[in-house]
Amino acid sequence: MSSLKQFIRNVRSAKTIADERAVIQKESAAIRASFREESHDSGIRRNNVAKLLYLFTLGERTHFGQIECLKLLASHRFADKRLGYLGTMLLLDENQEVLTLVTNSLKNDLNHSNQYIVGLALCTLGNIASVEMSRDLFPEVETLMSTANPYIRRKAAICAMRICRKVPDLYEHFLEKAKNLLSDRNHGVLLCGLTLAIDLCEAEEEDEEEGGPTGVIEMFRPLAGGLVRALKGLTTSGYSPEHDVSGITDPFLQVKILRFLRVLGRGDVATSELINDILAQVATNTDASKNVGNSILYEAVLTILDIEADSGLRVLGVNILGKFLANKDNNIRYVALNTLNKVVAIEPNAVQRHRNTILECLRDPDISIRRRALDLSFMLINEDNVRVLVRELLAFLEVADNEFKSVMTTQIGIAADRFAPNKRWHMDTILRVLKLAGNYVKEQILSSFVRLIATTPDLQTYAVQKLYSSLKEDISQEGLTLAATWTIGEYADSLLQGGQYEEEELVKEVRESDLVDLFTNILNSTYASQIAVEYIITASMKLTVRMSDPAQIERLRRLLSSRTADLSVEIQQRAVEYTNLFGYDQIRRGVLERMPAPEIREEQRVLGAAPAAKKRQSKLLRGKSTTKVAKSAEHDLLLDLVGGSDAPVTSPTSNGSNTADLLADILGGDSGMSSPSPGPTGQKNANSAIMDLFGSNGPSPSPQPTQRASASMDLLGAGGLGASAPSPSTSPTPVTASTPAHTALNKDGLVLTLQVQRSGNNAQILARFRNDSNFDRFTGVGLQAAVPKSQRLQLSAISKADLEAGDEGTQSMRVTALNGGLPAKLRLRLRVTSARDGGNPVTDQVDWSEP
Amino acid sequence: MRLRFYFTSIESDSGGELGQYGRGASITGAAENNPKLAATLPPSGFINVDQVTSWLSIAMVLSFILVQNRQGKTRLAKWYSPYSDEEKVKLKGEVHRLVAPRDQKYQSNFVEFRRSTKVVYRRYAGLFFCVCVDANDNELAYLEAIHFFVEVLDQFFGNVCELDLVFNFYKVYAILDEVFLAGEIQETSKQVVLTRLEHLDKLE
Repeated sequence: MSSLKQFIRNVRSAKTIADERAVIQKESAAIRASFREESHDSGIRRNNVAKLLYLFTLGERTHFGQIECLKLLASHRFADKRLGYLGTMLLLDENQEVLTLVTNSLKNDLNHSNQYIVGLALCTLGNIASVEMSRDLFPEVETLMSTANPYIRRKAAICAMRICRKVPDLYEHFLEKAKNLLSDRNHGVLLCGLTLAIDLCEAEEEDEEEGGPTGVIEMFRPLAGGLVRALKGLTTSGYSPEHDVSGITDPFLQVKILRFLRVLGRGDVATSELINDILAQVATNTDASKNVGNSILYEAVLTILDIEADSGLRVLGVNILGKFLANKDNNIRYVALNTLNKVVAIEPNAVQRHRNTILECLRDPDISIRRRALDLSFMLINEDNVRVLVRELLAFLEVADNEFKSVMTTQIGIAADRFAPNKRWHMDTILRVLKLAGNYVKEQILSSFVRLIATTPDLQTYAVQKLYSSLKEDISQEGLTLAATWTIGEYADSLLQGGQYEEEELVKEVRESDLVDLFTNILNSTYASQIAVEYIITASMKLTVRMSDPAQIERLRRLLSSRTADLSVEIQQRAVEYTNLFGYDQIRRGVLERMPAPEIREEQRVLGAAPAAKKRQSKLLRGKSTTKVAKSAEHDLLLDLVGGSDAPVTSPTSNGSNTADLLADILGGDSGMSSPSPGPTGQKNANSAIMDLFGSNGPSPSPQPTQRASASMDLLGAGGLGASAPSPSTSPTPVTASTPAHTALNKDGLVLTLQVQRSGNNAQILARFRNDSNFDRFTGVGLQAAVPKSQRLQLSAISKADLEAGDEGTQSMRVTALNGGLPAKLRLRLRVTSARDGGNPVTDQVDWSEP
Repeated sequence: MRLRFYFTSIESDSGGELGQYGRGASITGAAENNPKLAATLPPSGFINVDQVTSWLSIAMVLSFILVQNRQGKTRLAKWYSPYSDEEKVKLKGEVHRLVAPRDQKYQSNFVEFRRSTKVVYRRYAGLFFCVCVDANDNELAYLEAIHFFVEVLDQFFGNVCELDLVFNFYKVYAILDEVFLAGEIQETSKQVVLTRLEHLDKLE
């Protein structure tokens, strides 16, 4: 058998990986063989285990040596024990069954007279104690916490911490001992005592809501005074060689004390007052030239911001972070930005003061610092500084890393939407974003921009001119292409009129041929993505009614018919439909009229209040969770931008305008599904259909939020070109008769049954109304429905609203789970309206859950 | 991946305690209220992600220490949380890939790592000393802790180099155990640690 040294040399001298494997496998086999021989020479066993540990560091499988380690640590020789314990700690963890075999040896060794052996046992226990071991051995640890030997005391303190983490209900046994440790004069013991105390307190904080152990923090609070004195002693003491770290006495202990004071002072005014002074002292007197000092300052700032400190002190805390920002050490800046991100919610004004420094960090060479500075900048935006900050951010967008651009465009879009001082500014901002990073703009931002233009008639000419000239300069930014195409299609007449313009360099006559040229250019370029083509097709069609030159209209017609054999079904179908529309000149003009401005629901534009975080939890931790909330809120905000509604109540209006149906009616002739809307003219009908398609709610008297949102989503997702888009309402999957029908309502002869058919995370529900009465007649029968917030509901119009006796009308719904799957039993709130024999309409509400 | 790991560890922990509780209670006599137990279990059927992370902030402060060279060979690995063998291999690789390409001059010594943890590392010649800590911990203090450990190594070996760590890896673990215990720093005086190690070596 070779020695450990020789083995290491052999491994290292292996020339190739294959050689190395061979050496390792040979040795591994030799070790196994040696184990099998059951030699009683502990020297050989030690040698084997040592080699085994080397194999472990190489990442080899070593499970076969576990028992040998246990044999070693049960030996009486110190060298055996030491290696045995080392091996146990390395090769085993708390989840190994074999560990139970160690418990007895540990118990013996914890009671050993030799402090070094006790130390080994404590060390092992601290590192790998399992639940069982904790229960079996805690009395020993409890005793050891008050031995005279500081070395043992501190190790026992950490073991106690581990035991309480494993078996929380054992904490009571250690409370008194922990208190004693906190007045210990030995640095190591005090440090470990603090570690234990912090752990106990935080465990209490975490569990408070569950009615967990209370009073732990209360019990430790009286000790704050003593710890303040200890900290004062550390900060004012001169050079102490034993614990000095570049001029500062025991920074580790200072940091721990500060952290413990934070736990004690959190939410307690009296204690906070007690520690205010020392915090001010630490914050002002600590030498900030080295990392050591900064680590203490950092901890002090965290404590200041987390306890009930007075306002002056809090400002001092934020200012320290501000100073950190100017530090040339990357680490310090990183930490500062990270903390400011958490603090900005609690101390917004103090953080605002460092705005310029934060903006400078956008140009930091370190990407993680840039990222944090960017996050922080967005959080700083408010009504007062939106112009300045967005200008800076736009400047940064020009040079920003690509991975930031998507987030930036969204955030700038949201900020502009919330804080824009005026519409002109809002428009210019988004326009700039589109020009700089049009390829990274999310569709929601795009749609909100389009909506902005549509709702601002006095700026439409300005917008279309600006967009046109930008698109002429650069067709490579998809977002810009889409927005400009839509706007040109919609407002081409304003563009062609030219006109009063403030920025004179823009006033250039635009000819009809220029527009067609531009579209052709894009279509012929490599930037003609599927969506861009879809937009252009529709915009071209609109242009045919906005232009007067027959030659150009003919060009557009050719352009459209050239796409009638497009490989994309969507484009092909649209092109075919549009070319056919040329044959219906009397309705073409009406169909392609300008879209009315969509409605903006103000109340939904602003971020809702963040849900209350867990009480008593650290404010800084809370800061962390609010960023998460902000993330999801951002998502909500995006949804709001497209006009989605939080309350998924869908109500088909009496107008009953089912987008798809109508469009199918117009474009595809009679689809066989009769529209329930009584009597709007064909032209009006067409208008509302297309408008619905584009996400406006058109002239229908009451909005259909969900459907609208989904329609506009479709628009942006699939180019929104209409009836053939896989919009669920278009093609309701037939609910087969085999699924059982459940009666949801039976009142005065009107019976409502529901049939549910599930597929994946959505369910198709067919509501069937039947007039079961003998002679009565029901008119205006309709169903409204609502689902829990985790689901989305789409409701189509009823097939027949007036039911004679024996008649049946059906209405289909589609429930989609927003995240995760649908629950096993669907729940619906149904509101059924009907009028009997021409009387007043009656509404019944039922809460239905799937049987 | 990690998240799933957290879930299972939490569940198995509480499950274990549940099973244990009956026995443990009769031994310790602390039977009337077991508030901690209830607290460990998620309050309702589902686990809120925020809660999981905050449990972690107390459940593990320092989850592992790795010393790797520039080629990614691990010279020391100490795990303070139970990881499976596969997990360990993966973690070593991930940490190396994260840390090794970073710029010493223009980048900080902290890298966000998986969920809610970060790696604090410091490079000494060709060796990276990495510790994985909770995202809310004081990174600067851990940086000092790494340096403290390296200084102890340096004094122990007398101008330490990578080969010392290779050939005396078992001593390195012993030193580590004198500085950190259960993921917490336990002694801040170099002299105390070194004297202790001297005594231990003499006993062998």
